[in-house]
Amino acid sequence: MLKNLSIIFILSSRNVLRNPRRSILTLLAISFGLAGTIVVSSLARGLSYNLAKDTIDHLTGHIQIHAENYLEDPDVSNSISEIPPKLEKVMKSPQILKKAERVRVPGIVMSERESYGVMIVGINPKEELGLSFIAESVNEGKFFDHDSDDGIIIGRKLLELLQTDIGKRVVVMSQDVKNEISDKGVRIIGVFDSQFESTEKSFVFLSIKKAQGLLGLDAKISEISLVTKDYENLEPTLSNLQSSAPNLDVRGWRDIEKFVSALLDIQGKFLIFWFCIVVIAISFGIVNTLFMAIYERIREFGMLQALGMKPIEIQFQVLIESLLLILIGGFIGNILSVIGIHLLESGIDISAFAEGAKRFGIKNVIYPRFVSHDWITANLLVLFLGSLSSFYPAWRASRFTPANAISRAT
Amino acid sequence: MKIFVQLLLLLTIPIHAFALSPAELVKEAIDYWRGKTSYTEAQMTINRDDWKRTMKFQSWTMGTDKTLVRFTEPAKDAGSASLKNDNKMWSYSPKVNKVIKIPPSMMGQSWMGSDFSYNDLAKADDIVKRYSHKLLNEEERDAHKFYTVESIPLENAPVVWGKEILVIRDDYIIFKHQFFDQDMKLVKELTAEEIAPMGGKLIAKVIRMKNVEEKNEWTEIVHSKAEFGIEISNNVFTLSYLRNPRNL
Repeated sequence: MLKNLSIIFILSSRNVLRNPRRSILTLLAISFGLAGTIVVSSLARGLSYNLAKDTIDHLTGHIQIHAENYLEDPDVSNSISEIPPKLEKVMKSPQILKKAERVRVPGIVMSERESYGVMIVGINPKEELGLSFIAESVNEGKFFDHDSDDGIIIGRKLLELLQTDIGKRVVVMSQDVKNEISDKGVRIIGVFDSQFESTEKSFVFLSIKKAQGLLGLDAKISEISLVTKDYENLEPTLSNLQSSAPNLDVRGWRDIEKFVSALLDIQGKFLIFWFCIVVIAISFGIVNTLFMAIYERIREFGMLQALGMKPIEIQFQVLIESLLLILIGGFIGNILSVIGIHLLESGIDISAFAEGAKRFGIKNVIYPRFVSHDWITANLLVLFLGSLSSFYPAWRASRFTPANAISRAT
Repeated sequence: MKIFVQLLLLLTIPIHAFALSPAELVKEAIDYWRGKTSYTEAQMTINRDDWKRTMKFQSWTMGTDKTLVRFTEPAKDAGSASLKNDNKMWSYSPKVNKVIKIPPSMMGQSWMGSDFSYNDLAKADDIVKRYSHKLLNEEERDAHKFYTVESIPLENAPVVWGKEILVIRDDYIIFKHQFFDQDMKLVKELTAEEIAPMGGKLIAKVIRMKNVEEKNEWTEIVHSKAEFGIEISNNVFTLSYLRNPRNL
C-alpha cells in the first residue's frame, strides 16, 4: 500500500503538470482567494481595533467605576463620596496600569450668541495623560497643568457653534448637589480636536477641583477610569474589583459601550461568513477543474483499473491531485497576503470619504492588523472545504468500469 | 450766615444721583424702575423683516426677584404666562395646560419670540452684583444730567457679555442699555424711546430692544398703565397661581 502511495503521488503530480495552463488558473483562484480573504480580514480587524481603541481612549478606559445608578442617571447626587480602602488596594495592583478620577455631569455652555448642552468633565490633567485622548488633543491654547487650574477646554466644533474664541469667556451651567442651578463664567484656555465631530461638540473639560467647586461636590467624584494590561481579557481584574467594592458599579468597557461592543461582535461573525463564501467559491473552482481533468482521462482510469489499480487508489490519486493544488495555491496565497499586508502597512487613506467616515467614528486612515487566528481559520477552511469538495469528483473517477471506459471514443 | 445760605442751597440740589458711586447708581436705577412692588400693563410689538406682531400683557413684580407676566392678547397667546422666582423661571401654556420649568439651556433664548431673552427678564439684577462699574461720562442735556456707566462682568460671573454700557439719567431712568460681545462689538441695545409720568412717577413708557446685528429686528414695549408700591399678595408668585389665575 505504501509503495503504491508513492506511485499514486507521482501519478498525481504528473497529472497536475499535464495541463499547466489549467492548473495555473486554478492555483491563481486559490491563491488570490486566500490572499484576498486574509488581507481584507486584516483590514477589517484594523478597523475594529481602531474602533475599540478609540472607544477606550474616548474617556472610557478599560474599566469604569461609578456610584450605583450613575449610568442610568448621570446626576451629581449619584457620586462616589469615598473610595473603599479595599478597592484602593486592588487599584494599586500591577494589573492596573493607569487610573483617573473624574467628575462628569451634563450641563450647558453659553456664549453671547448660542448655548449648547454638553457633558462637563472635570479632570486631573496628570492622570489623563496616556489614559484618554484629551491630554494629547489640545492643539490650540494649552492643556491644564494642575487639577485646580482655571479655565475651560472645549472642542473645535463647539467653539465654532458658539461663535466664540480662545481667550473669551463662556458661561457653564449645571445642577449642583442642592438641585439648584449653578453657573459660572470661565475663560476658554484650550481647544481640542477629535476625529469624532460629536466629541468636539459634546464634551467640555474643567479641572477636577474647579468642577467640584462649581457643583458643590467637595471631594466627591463621578467616575474612576482604569487602564489594565490587556483590554481583551478583563474578566479576572473585573471580578477582583467588583468584590472589593460591592456598593459601586464596576464595569468593563464592552459593558459600557454596548453599541461598539455589538459592532465588534458582528464584525467578527461577518468575517467568518465572508471566509466561508470565498472558500466555497474556491471549492467550486477546484471541483470544476477536477471534473474537467477526470472526464479527459476516463480511458486512462479504465486502463489503470484494468491493469489492477483499485478504485480506492484512483480516489486517492484524484484527492492528492486536488490536495497538491490546494497546498501550492495556499502557499502562494499566504505569500501574496504577506506582500499585500506589507504594501498596505502605511494605511489606506479614506480621507476622500472623511466627512461620512467621521460621523461613523472611523479614522481617515485604515491600517491592516494581522490577527493570527483569522489567518489560521482562513487556511484551515481552504484546506478543509477544498479537500471535502474534491471527494465527489474522486468518487466519480473511481466508478468508471474498465470495459465501459476503454470502449469510449475519447 | 453765608455758610447757612450755602447749606440751604446744597439741600435744594436734588439729592438723587449726587455723589453716588457708579455701582450705587446702577442699583438705584434698577430699584427705581422696579419699585418695591409694581403692576404694569403693556403692549409688546415684535418687528421682523417680513412680519410684525403685537401682544398685550400684564406684569407684577415684587422686590428684585419675583416677576409674573401674563399675556392677555391676542387670543392665540392669551393666558400664556411666565413666572420668575429667584433665578428660576417657569412658563405656562394654557393650550397644553402645563407648567414648564425653563431649563438653563433655554434661558439665553428668546422670550415669547421677542428680542428679549429669558435672562433679560430673570437676571436683570445680576448687573448690580456681578459686574464692576466705571463712570465713563457725565453730560448735561435738557436740564438733566446723563451718566454713562460701563459695567464689566467679574471674571467668574456667569455672564456672556464682554461689557454693558448704561446711560442713566439723574432721576434714575435708564436711557440706554447696550450689550457688547467679548470683541466689544455691540450686539443688542435697549433704549428708552419715551419718558412719561405713570403710576405717580416718571418712567420709560416706551422701551425698545434692538438686535443690532440684524436689520429691522426689534421689540418694543409700550406701557399703558403702571402702578407702584401697591399691595400684592405673595401668592401671586406661585406655580399654582401661574397655572390658575384667580382674584387674590
